[in-house]
Amino acid sequence: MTIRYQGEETRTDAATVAAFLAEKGVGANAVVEYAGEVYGPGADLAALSLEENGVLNVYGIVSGG
Amino acid sequence: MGANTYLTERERNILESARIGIAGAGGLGSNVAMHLVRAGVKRLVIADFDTVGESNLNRQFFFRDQLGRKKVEALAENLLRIEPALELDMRDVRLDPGNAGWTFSDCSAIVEALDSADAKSMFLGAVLPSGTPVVAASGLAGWGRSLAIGQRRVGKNLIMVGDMSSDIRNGLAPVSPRVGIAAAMQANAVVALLLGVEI
Repeated sequence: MTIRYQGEETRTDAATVAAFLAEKGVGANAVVEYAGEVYGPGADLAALSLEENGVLNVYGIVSGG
Repeated sequence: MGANTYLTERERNILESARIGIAGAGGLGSNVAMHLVRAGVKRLVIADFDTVGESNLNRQFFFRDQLGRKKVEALAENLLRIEPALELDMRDVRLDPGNAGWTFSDCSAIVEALDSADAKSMFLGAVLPSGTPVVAASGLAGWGRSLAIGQRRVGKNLIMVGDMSSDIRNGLAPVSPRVGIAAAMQANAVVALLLGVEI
């Protein structure tokens, strides 16, 4: 299927958001926005199915303050 | 009347009645608090477990004669020098998944101002489900690239400030100008949220 990831059309065979993020090497320190919903770090994304044309954005959390 | 005489009565009432939570009283949190008090916010809940150290003085709103003091005590002292009529709820506590939510449970908005990525993640995971607006920061270390520090609304209740990549773990130092830019943007986002204007 094709989704829009970080603003770019992206092909994937991943069935879930968790599987897709694992493919991309996205670690635990990130906020995930999918289909308009926001998932904080540690949220269980394994049951969140990817849909055709779904919009997925990831915001990395890095140290500093 | 309060410190800020530039506000309309409506703006003053909104800012003075809001209760803002700040998680962390370091480079981000101490400066966010300073900006909010100067802007007219009077009710703050600030949580931090640390003491003022020498390395903090390059960017944090503390002074040399406060070295060794608890940050929440020293920050309260400094904020009250700006505006004596504050309602400060200073919590000397290390935030964890068990206390992060209720520490800020009655706040109008929450500022994430922690330092390590793990602590930031823990905190966001704990407070985002509450639905309270959160202003977080990620990516503010190093020098230059001022305009790379942006802000974006994520969903309805999260605003993220920073460049999302400049990590102190990559050898970049946390220094006053860039940390200060991010802190000012966080405070500005809080004021905008409260006043209902564009962030």
